[in-house]
Amino acid sequence: MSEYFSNIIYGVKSFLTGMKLTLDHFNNKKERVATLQYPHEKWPIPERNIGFDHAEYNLIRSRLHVDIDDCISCMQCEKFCPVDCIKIDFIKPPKDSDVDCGITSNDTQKKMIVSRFTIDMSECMYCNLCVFPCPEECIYMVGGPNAEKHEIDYEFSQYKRDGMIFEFADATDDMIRDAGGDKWLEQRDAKLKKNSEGVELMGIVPEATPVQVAAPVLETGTAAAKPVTAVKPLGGEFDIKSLNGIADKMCRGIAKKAFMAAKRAGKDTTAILADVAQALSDAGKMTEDIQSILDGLSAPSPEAVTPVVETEGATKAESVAEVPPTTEVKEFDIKDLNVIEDKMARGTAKKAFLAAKRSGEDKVEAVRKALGDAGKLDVAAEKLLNSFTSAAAEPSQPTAVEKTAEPTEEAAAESLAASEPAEDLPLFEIAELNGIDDKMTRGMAKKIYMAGKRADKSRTEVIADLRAGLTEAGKLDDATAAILNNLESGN
Amino acid sequence: MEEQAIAKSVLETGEMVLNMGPQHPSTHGVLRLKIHTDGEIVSKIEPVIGYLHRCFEKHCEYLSYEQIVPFTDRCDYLASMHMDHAFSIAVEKLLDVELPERVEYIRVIIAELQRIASHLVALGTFGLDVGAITPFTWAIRDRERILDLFEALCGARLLYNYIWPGGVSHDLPPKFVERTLDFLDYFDPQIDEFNNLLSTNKIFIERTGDVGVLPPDVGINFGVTGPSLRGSGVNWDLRKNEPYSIYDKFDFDVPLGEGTMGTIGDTWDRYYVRVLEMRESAKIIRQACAQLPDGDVHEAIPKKIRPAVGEVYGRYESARGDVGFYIISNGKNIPLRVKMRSPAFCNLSVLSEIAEGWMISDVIAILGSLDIVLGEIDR
Repeated sequence: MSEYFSNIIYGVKSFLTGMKLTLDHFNNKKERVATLQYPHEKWPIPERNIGFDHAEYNLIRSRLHVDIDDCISCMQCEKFCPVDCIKIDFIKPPKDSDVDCGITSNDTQKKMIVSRFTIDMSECMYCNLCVFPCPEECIYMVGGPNAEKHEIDYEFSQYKRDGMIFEFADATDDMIRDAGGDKWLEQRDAKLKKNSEGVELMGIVPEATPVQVAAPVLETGTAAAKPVTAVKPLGGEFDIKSLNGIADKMCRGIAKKAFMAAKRAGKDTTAILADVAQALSDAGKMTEDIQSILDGLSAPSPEAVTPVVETEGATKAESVAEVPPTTEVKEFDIKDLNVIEDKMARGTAKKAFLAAKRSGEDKVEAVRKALGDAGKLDVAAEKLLNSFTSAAAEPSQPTAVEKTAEPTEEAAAESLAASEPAEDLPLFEIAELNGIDDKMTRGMAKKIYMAGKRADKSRTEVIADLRAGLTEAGKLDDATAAILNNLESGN
Repeated sequence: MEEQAIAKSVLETGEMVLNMGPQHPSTHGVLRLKIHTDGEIVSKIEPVIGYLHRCFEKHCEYLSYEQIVPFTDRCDYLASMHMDHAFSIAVEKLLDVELPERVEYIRVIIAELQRIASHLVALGTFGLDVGAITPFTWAIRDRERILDLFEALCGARLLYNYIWPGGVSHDLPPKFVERTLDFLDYFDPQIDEFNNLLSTNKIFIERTGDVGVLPPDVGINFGVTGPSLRGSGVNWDLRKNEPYSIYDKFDFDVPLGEGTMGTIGDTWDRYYVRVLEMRESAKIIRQACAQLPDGDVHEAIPKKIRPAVGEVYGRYESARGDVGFYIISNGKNIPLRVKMRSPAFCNLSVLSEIAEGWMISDVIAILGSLDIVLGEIDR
């Protein structure tokens, strides 16, 4: 009996002790907390001495790096690697040739040209064994004691495994050929060719642009590397995002609530707008601004319809195609309608397009008629439609070739040139600012751009803002100014 | 007659085979347990291993001695330093090199720190297995400090490649000894806290006391070593019984299971032996730090490891038990054959014996108390 109670007492006691400890930790959570909010906070990397003095030298495990100018291709690191992730090829110039292989920073005369020095970091086990035998101390793990040579890099995730293979050799083909490496080049090219053939054998063919029209179509995108299809979400006539124009948070909330309630009740656009207006005036929040926004949504004024040719989206899919322009027959696709900026007009046009497609009528005429009936057929839309009427005619939009994913200054200018010169130039895309090299400047520019965009400023106004803002911060250098000038002139 | 057959087929109670794993949070790796049960009572357990097999021993036949060290790291990844140390000791025996004293002291400090880190994971995950989540996070938090010390030491936090045949890869970084002593000062109260939170908790004792008793003779017959055997009261610790390195210079005790919360050799004893061992390790580190001599740690590292023809067996007391490396050399820089004795493999083999007659939930507790690492079992 007494054991029974002592058991209970012990149980309660130990339970309370545990709870007390937990509570104690909870109360002192500021001092005792161990969690780091990872991307924002990082664990400090231990302090290390700099230098290769073995008495003081502490090492770091991070990405391997090679100062290829110092490499004498002694192959020690390759031999020591337990997992064979280092691969070195070198060419020894013939004795009578006058090829200069260079001198290392330790004043050792190099005798070979390194034609290949790859490290596959996805295979690397970070054992650090390759670092020790290097006579020239040119292979090392970045950061820590080597921070002066190369900044730390231990977060180098890639989307593809190929990205983990780092090539350090910088000898050009000419240099290799001069050193008598013709055979090596042949072998390398043969291998590359074999690899690319292998890609095709395994059924990995570059993606083709999806074709939605049933009519016979010349495939335009098959030859391209990877067509970027930035298709805007199929625009409803009026959705909750349209209400984002309302500046005041409270009002926006009320409006959105009313919108959702009305939408759930299955009302149509006019009824929804009426509901929203009612809800806002009930709350006493109806201002002139909101009224005008709602009016604009119910019956958009023709001036508001400014067509924008999306340089990033619609044209890119075609622009990367390497089909000669003469053979190109433009087929009227529903995606082509995405260039119509006004949501309402786009919706109407798409509706008409689909109806015509289903009934087998001429789609261009159907869309034109529908837009005309709705009073939304403006100059740009007319032009777009005209370009499709004459099917075999030359392409209305000049093709811009963008090879790199990251638009360089040049590419940005080029793609701008590809855009249709409209009456008043539409606001340029934020991506155009990526041409600015300096991170700080780019960030600042983008901030100004977004502010301007939110305030519905025009292109010239935004550019003026950018100039003023950047000059004030003293960041307007020549390159940036050139980009802005390009943007202003529209090419 | 027919009715009888139907009644028999419906009513007959047979053995049920239950698969635990290969992916299961309480199997400490990729382990599959085929548990034969009668109702909820376990009648037999067949561990199915090999999911993590990486041909370590075969690899060794193609790698030079220096290159094998990072692979030993990956056997027992919770106590990598012990693996490095064990392999290095075997190779040094083969090479017959005299090590500088400083190297030995550094190795002992590092190995005991590693023992604490490994036991912290063992205790934390053991608590997690029986349903206590808080101790796990606390144990990992303290282990993190040791990993920080190791990172300052050799740049790596888990797979070190630090202890090399003939020495260590780097000398201690500045202030390492001070930081280690700071850590020990911080850590001692944490053990008390840990005891209050988990060891003496009534629920925990109910789950572990008197459960899965491992009699000493059974343990010895199955080749169980390390804390799992000492929990049964067998005084067998290579650091005392066959002192390697310089363990004979230090004053420490070998904690044994005493059956405080039940029978000698129960799950709680195996658990508590590890708690006590952390204190002993701290004791050893304090002594070693006080006596740490100066010297060059690279002095004895051979330029090329090319042992004479011969064979050697090196033993080592790792966090899990008796690690052995059997190396045959044919005079080249690559060993002819390396055989590793895995303590966790032997410890796992006794599972069926001691879990018989217990419930399925107790199997989790017993398995946790054996503290296995599948990387070492499958190697």
